[in-house]
Amino acid sequence: MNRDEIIVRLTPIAQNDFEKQDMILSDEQSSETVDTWTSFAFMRFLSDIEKEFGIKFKMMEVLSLKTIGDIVEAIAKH
Amino acid sequence: MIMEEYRLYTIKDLKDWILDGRSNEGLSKSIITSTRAYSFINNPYVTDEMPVVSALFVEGELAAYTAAFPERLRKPNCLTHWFNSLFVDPKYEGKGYGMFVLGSLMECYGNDPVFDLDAVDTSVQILAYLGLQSTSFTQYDFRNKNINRNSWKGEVAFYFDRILRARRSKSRFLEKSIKGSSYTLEYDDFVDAEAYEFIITHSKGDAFLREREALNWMLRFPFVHEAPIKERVRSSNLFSSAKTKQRYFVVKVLVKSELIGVYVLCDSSTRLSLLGFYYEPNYLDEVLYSIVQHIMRLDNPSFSTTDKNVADFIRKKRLFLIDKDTRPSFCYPKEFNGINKKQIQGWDGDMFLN
Repeated sequence: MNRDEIIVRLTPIAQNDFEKQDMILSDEQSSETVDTWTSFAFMRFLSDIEKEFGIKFKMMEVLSLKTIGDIVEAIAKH
Repeated sequence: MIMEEYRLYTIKDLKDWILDGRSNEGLSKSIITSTRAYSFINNPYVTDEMPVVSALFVEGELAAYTAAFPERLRKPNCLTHWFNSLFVDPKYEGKGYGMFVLGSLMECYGNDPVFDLDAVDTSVQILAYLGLQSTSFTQYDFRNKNINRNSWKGEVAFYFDRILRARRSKSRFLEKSIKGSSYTLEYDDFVDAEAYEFIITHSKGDAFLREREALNWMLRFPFVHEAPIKERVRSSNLFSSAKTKQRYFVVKVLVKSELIGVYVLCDSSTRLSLLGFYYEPNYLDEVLYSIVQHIMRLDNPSFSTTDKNVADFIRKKRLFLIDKDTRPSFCYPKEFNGINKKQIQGWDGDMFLN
């Protein structure tokens, strides 16, 4: 799966979980830049990604997921 | 680049730190109190290599931590791990650190089931993400008075409570009922073979049944320590717990030398808690009156129980001014689904120890 395909599938999940219907994903977005990126929203986001892409993140991997860019890269690796 | 460092601490690490005074990779009272660490070390189910605390440091500063202790339960028959504290520094919220410390400790336990009783909202959310189910159980809390006397309502409640307490202590009806009950009491500071046998026989509807050695470990090594001058106690840990008084009674109730009830009371400066509660159904009233007698004699500011029979009885006797049902959370693995409709005892999980 290439980055663009991942972004297309990831966008509605992010819009829903971060409660921003007009959210356009970019690699740099993180808890520092998205005001609704709370602990709960982040967990919901990861959980929904796992369901959508049929993957399971390891805990050490979760720790490295700081930005949308990191998440896209992690999905591509699975 | 932010420097994050993750550390898992084992029982051996706690022993080196607490017993031998050897400094260890950032382990400190900010992560786990010495009382709790000492309790962990004495847990009958630990091994030196078992990880029990996980912590995450950001730029050398403590950002998140959690802890769990193991227990071999009699029912359900398994080695489990009870999570009992989770902290994330508010300035690091949203980064998944809470999930990381909880999840990575959980990963260490492989297929062993993990439980969390009286879990905080954050833990419930994280454990749900990690695949656990959650439900709640009822805890019945009774209070003597409204502590806040700053309002006229608080002031009225305070004086009403004084009258109620005076009335309660002189209640002829209660005195007569208690005197009319022919029970005798035996006290222990541990669960002996006779009491434990009684508990096994009368615990059929319970979600959990602990082994006797676990109960006696908890009676001996709670997470709370006594501190006569509590207001001066220095603490750097959110989960540190000091009370001016905290003692346990294992109470056996007998009628003509026949055991009809066994329960444990935790008498602390803030409340009287009914922990385990087991009784012979034909003698329920006698056992309930014995609890009422303790409430009257010990006169704690509040009382709590998870048992509906006890709560209804106390309500009926109007022993307290205020009563409130709370619904603490309970997280469990989905393969234990049937467990959520069963009785939770006041001593289950880490509730005994706090």
